[in-house]
Amino acid sequence: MGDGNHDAPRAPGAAPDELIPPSSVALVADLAAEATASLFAAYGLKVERDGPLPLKSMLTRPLVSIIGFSSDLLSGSLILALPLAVAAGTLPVPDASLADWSGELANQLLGRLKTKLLHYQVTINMGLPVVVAGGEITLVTMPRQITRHYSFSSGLGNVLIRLDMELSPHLKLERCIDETLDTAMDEGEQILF
Amino acid sequence: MKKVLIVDDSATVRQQVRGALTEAGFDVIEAVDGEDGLLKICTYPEILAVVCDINMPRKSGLELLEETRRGSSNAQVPFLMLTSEGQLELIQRAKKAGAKGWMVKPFKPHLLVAAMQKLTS
Repeated sequence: MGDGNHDAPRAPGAAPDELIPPSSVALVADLAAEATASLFAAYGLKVERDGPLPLKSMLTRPLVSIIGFSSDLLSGSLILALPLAVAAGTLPVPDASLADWSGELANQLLGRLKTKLLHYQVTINMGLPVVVAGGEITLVTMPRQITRHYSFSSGLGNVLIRLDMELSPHLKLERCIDETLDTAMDEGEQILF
Repeated sequence: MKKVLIVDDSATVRQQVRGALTEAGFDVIEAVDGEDGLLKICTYPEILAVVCDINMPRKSGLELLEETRRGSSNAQVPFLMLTSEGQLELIQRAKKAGAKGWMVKPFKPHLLVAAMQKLTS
């Protein structure tokens, strides 16, 4: 199954990719893909990764949510593009705003990615989602960023995610193997102090 | 009825929390961000507990919690943080500031209700 890794054209002056371990790029992108599947499963929708897709497919989904993240080692933005049916079909309450829910889904998706990265001892700071609805949207990869995107099929239509990342050559993704060491609280968990 | 406050910039989440808590007999007030949350806490001293997101415009949930503790008219109101964040340092910061609990989204309504019943008892 292809992973949809089509790099957008790089801007002039962008830093060479060979400084960044390809395994780090692939791992972060795979973690985002895992997070996407588990997020939609939590709201009752099974999504499955598709093969490669042309970049311009990203431009035609009605609801596009963009959320940024930052840290010394890893920064960028996560884009979640949905058809209206997916947003409507995963609403936890009736008659809510589909645009608002799309933004909240992007927020929770980045939260899941952040938690997965915490298990690899990498901490990112989350931004706030912005939702763009309708029309044609041109996505541009900024200098020094690497783009990865995945398509997921579901019974309600295709879900697309895109990661535009800037990774430090010093980024090391090493999974914490000490299971007695808490690294993060996972989705759905709660604690009362 | 016990009055509680939900602070979240997502209208969907506010609606979701309102639905769960209203069904359990709570009277729910909403705030759309941390600044609005602080205003509501000061305006409604009868608020018995706050359900609060972390990442919000204007003022984050942690900033709201810390500022409430520093000198609002309802400084000791219990806070339950409801967020997509699971970072332990943030949880520790909330605990240190006097939060009473932390829930990572998506939440189970019956657990939210149980937590709020405990905090308002």
